[in-house]
Amino acid sequence: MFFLLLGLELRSFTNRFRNLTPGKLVRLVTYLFVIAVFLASSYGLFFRLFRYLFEFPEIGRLLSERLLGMAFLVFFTMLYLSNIITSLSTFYHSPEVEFLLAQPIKPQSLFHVKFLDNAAFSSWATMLLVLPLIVAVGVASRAPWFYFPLSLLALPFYVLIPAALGVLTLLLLRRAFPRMTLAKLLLLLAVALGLSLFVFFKFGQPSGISIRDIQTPEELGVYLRSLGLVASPFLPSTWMGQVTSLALRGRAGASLPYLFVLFANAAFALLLCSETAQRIYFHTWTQSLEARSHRRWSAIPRGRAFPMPRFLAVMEKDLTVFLREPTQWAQGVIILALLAIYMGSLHNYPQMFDFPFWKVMVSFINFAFVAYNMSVLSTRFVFPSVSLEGRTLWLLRSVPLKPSRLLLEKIALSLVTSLILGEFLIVVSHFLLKAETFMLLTSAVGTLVFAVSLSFLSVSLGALFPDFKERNPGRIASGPGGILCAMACLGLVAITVALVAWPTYHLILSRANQMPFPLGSALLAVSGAFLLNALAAGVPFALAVRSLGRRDY
Amino acid sequence: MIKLAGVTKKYDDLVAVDDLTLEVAGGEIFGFIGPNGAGKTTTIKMLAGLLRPSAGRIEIDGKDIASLPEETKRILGYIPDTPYLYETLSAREFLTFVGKIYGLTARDIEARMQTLFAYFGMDGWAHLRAEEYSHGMRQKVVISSALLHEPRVLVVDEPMVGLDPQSAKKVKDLFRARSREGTTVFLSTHTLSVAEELCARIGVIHKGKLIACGTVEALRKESGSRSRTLEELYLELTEYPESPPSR
Repeated sequence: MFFLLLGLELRSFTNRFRNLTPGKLVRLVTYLFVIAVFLASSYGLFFRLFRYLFEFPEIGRLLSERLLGMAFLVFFTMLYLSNIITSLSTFYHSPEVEFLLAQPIKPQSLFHVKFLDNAAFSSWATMLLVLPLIVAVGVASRAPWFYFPLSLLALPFYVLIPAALGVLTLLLLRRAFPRMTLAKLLLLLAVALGLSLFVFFKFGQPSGISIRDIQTPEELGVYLRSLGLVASPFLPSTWMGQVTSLALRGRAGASLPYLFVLFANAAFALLLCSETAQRIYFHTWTQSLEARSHRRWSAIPRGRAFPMPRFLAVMEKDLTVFLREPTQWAQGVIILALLAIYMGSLHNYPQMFDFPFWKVMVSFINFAFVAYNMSVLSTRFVFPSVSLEGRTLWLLRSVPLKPSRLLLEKIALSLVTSLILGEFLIVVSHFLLKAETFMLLTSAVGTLVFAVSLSFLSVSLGALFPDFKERNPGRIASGPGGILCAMACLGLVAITVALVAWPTYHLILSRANQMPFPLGSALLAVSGAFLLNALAAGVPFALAVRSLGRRDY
Repeated sequence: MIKLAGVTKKYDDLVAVDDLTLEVAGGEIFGFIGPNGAGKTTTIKMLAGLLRPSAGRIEIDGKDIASLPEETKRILGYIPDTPYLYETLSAREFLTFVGKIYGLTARDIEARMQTLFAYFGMDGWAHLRAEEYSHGMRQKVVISSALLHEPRVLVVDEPMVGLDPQSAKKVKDLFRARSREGTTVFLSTHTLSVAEELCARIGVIHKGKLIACGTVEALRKESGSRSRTLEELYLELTEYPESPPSR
């Protein structure tokens, strides 16, 4: 039965690529091209970074290994969260599951197949970052030949552990709180994760030496080695980090035990998940069905929370629906918690690096980080907004509502929220960093530009590459269109930051060396940045309005 | 009021609607019937502006829906076959949203909502989220949304599905009342008794083509058929097989 269901899943997947119309073929080729560009660009970026680091003897390798460890930890966390959120719809809200469970099929077989589907869906986007990272580190450090097969062999186990733990977490939560609504379930998860992160960062401080006391490279090495929590021996990310780091150092024999630990723990996690599912999955599924049928009716007060004028009817509706949709805002809470932790840690940056170049560079990195977060939030929350109208398009396209107005109201909502968040982050972070007013103004203007361009870009791409059949915004953002949007937004941010970085760098140089500032070139670079953002906003928008108006529903 | 001239809709090699030409006068209730996959919903969606014809022209009150979509939609109300709503909005919030899109004032929205709530018996649950509603309740909300702005043309796809007999009667009475006031109703249905009861004229579509159009009596005379009921006439026109396949 397992192979029958697996065959069904594979057939459903492969059928998407059969008998493609010219339009769909163009879309597929575009996706593949963009993915290829993203992989190449990520590889290039990682290669340059790690090659630069490896030029510094000992410290460079240590920093690289710590960076790799941190990256694996971040990816592990992302995979764990992603699996929990997508498994909610995969295992409990899918009409396909309801249909199949009414057939003479063992729930366990269905669970196994859906687990693979969920793990693949939740992980493939993260793999687009992990794979170029592993390859780039290996090439940059001129790693021995066995580094590549060892790292790639460890990767599936590294991915399966958070997949199994994520689904297991959901099963146990459903078992413990059978009548809990989806909203409260996600809120509980968000609070638990937020608290865990708080403890993680608050008490996971390096011992022995404070970052403020670092005076020499040797003390920097001691500090890096004391980052104990990032290198905790109990984390799968550490095992993955050890496999790669030891292989990089040419110690294949030493990395094999960690590979085995990954394999053993992946097998254990899968077995635990499977056994737990066998005992409770079907039971929790029927309970969730009962909970939906007999839910206490939720009255909505007569007055609306955000009453808006007629010409903002779409915005009012979008805001109301978003706030009542737990799958959306629960993830927002998690992301905001991470940002709050980042802001809180800003006062720890080395105050001893007081010379102007370092201060401006840190401010600039901070600006780039805020911009990066804006692009991530755009992809995650703004891109799915058009797709989520799928089932109600019968209304939106039969009423006298121009496609441009529909899109503009969605853009306006995104713009206002991302502008408020972005500017708040910029102002507070610059205050904590004690940055120059010039950098604050540059970052503030840059954030405004990004709020506009990223909002236009995300909504427009959402209209150009919609998934009207999918109702889970997480799955929409993780789908091909979402990946395309993520790459476009990240690319826009990266190029804009690079264009603005150039005159900023020359400004510092001219101040430090009392050289003339290349005003003409600087204006050209800044104008280029503005033009790029204007094009990124305007061109997709025009195409999206046309597409939405011509599309059949 | 409604004019379809040579309207064709193709999906690659499949011709869903083939050279459809018909006119519906103002204030008429026109029934559109046919087997599954005949092209009824495709025609309805083209009238509502959700699909673009591959060829031909559709006019609502003399305006081409392709070149003046917002103007035509302003006087049009659409009731789809599947009543999808915003799950986390209440009926009240949903109708307020629709009213604002049509440019109604808050006072007008409230007054008309109250009338519709009272008529359909929605007062007890209009403040609850749509995710709690049954199919019939959703249908009532969707019908109300199509009537809120008092359209001059109603395009309706299977309005009776999921409605209890009392509610179905109310919907029929409502269509008759609106028709008397001058509203044109283009109604697609599988329930032939509803078509026979409500509609002044009936169009029969089969494999994308309009194979018959007129009053029931006129269709009977035209076909030279001795069929007594609309059902018998319809089955004859749509080539119903003589006997079911054997085991």
